Amino acid sequence: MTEAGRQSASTIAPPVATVDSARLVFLVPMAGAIVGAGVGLGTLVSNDVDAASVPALAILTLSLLTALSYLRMRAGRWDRPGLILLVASAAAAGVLLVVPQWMYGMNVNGIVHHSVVSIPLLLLVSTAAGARAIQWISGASPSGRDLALYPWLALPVLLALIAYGLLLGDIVITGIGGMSMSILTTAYHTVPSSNGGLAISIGPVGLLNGILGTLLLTAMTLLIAVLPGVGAGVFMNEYPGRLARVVDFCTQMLRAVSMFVIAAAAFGIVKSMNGWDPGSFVSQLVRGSFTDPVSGAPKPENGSFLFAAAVLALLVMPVIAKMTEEGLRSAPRELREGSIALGATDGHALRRILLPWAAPNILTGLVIAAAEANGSLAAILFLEGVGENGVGLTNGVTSLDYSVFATLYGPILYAHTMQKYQLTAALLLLLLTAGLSVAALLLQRRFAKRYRGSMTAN
Amino acid sequence: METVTGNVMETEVLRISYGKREVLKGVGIPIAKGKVTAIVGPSGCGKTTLLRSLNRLTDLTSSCRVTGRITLDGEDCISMDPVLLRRRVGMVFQKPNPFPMSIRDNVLYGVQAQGNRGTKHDEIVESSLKKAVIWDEVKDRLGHSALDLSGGQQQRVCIARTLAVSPEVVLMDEPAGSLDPRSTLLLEESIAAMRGDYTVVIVTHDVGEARRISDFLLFMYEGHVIEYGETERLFSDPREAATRDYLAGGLVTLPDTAEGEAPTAA
Repeated sequence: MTEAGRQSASTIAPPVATVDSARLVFLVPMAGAIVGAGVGLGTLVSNDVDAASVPALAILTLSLLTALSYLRMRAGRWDRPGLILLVASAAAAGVLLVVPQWMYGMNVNGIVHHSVVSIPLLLLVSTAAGARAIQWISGASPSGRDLALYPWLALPVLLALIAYGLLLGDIVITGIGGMSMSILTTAYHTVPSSNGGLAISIGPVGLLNGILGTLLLTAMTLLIAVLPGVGAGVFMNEYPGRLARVVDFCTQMLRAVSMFVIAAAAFGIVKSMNGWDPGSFVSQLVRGSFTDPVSGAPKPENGSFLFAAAVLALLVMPVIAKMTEEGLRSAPRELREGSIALGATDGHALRRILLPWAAPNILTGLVIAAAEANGSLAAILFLEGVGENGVGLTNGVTSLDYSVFATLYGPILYAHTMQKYQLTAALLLLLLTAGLSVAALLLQRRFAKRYRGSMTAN
Repeated sequence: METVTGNVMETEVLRISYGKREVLKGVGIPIAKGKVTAIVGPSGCGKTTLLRSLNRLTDLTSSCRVTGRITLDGEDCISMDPVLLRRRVGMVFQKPNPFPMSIRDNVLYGVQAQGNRGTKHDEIVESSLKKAVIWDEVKDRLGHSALDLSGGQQQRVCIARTLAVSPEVVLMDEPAGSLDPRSTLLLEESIAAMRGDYTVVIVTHDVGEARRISDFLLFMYEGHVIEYGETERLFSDPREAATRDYLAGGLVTLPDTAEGEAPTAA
């Protein structure tokens, strides 16, 4: 029996070394083709066919040849199907790269055709070559065949990364160009003419209104949404029944409604207050106000930070509720029973065990809610302004999203002066989102360790 | 206060069903005060259901129907506030279920849940952990998470947690079910230490364990109590053939009465 065991153990030994290097090998042609595809896309953008097709083809051919010689060296022989695949696909790629140019010449049609055909082709060829190489290197073993799937599975991910990279690259590069200390620390506002007339002139230029506005709006939204959100989550999980299902249904409906419907409803409320005294308490809370520099009297804005935060809170509450519910549901039944058997009330268990257990989920919910609040500009679009009268609870609402929007469609003076900082504002939003995600990840890990220990939900 | 031999709990014609399946078919048992009563029987005989009904954990299953009578010191348990009942009748589960908090907080959980904000917490922690025979192992790390302990240690912390609220009755559902032999021995030691101060009802499938730790033994089969009596007597001189067979080797010859008494579904 031991003899048999030893035998089978020796035959199962996995080809560890070859598996690792196979991964590396397939990366060579893939990377080459991806660079080629990137250059091809560059052609599409720059309308310069010569600048793209030659290096793309060269890079692809070079990388394929490198991969081939590496494979030859490792395996000590030529793998005929692999060789045919590689050479044929390189030839096909070359033909397909050249043909459109030959057909259409170096005009826009040729360039578009060239890129549209060559980019996917380059990626497919390189993926096939990579997969084949992996299979070959790891022998025809079953794990080798599994590994050969890897490039195919990685392809869409890489494509998405390229797309993201192209999109974000533009924002990052242009955005950094507009970044400066004064942009970050100056609030945009206009200066009324000294003679008290209607004319206004450009004042300081900067994004500080948007930055502070985003921070205040996000904080206020979370502050308003957290208690009802967590409460609704607790309710839906701890008291399941018809009412909980109705609440669930309503929140889902709310999320499915177009943001502009909500925006119109919110603006309707503000509009209905036309004629109210702008200095009155309710009007200040809902509409917000600013002091007219000429007359010194309060004038209404289109919507206050507080009101906008309340609208956003309505939108993000379901997220918090859902995450709370999930967290509570994942608490092991044994913990609940243990608490009940000690004569603890449900409320005590909720405070001491269940909510701490759900804390990582609730935290994630809050961060997602923060991100969603920042992404739901449309819901408060009609309320926002460029925030030149300051940032505070009863000031007119503004945010970085609106800064991005207003550089194109906002007040003419603002669009005129701030247009070149559009992508700087977008970059700041990106950084904010990235910061939120990283913070969420770190906090979640810490909380999970603190409140769940080594215990996992089952 | 009655005599030492009085019964702290009793059930009468207790019938429990889950949906249409009747699990207990009219059970009447006494629980002797200050003694260890073991419930044994083959899997599915209803012993865990009986145990869970004693502090109404059966309420947590929505399909569960309970009829009959359960009394604690003469009071009707079924009309009592279940939270108050559970403060007097504690439970230790088969799988150790310490809360994800420190050892000290685990022991004090029930104490605080029952509204004791007194200053004697340190004494309660020490005495409870000593009764559960785990004090020496954890006294230097009371602030550490209870989840870092071994399974056997966790189970004894769970016992300490239950004892900390001074219940009259402690229910145990196969407390050694997931423990290794050495931990089981320590657990039995702590149960022995509880005898006299607490009334213990323990469900076990280990006949040897039942013999080692219990004063009274209850043998159940298919929802019926087949025999009840002092443990030694049941081992040495069982009245029913089924009891003798089960205690001897875990195999049961069906007694006619058990099958005949099964009620038809209403």
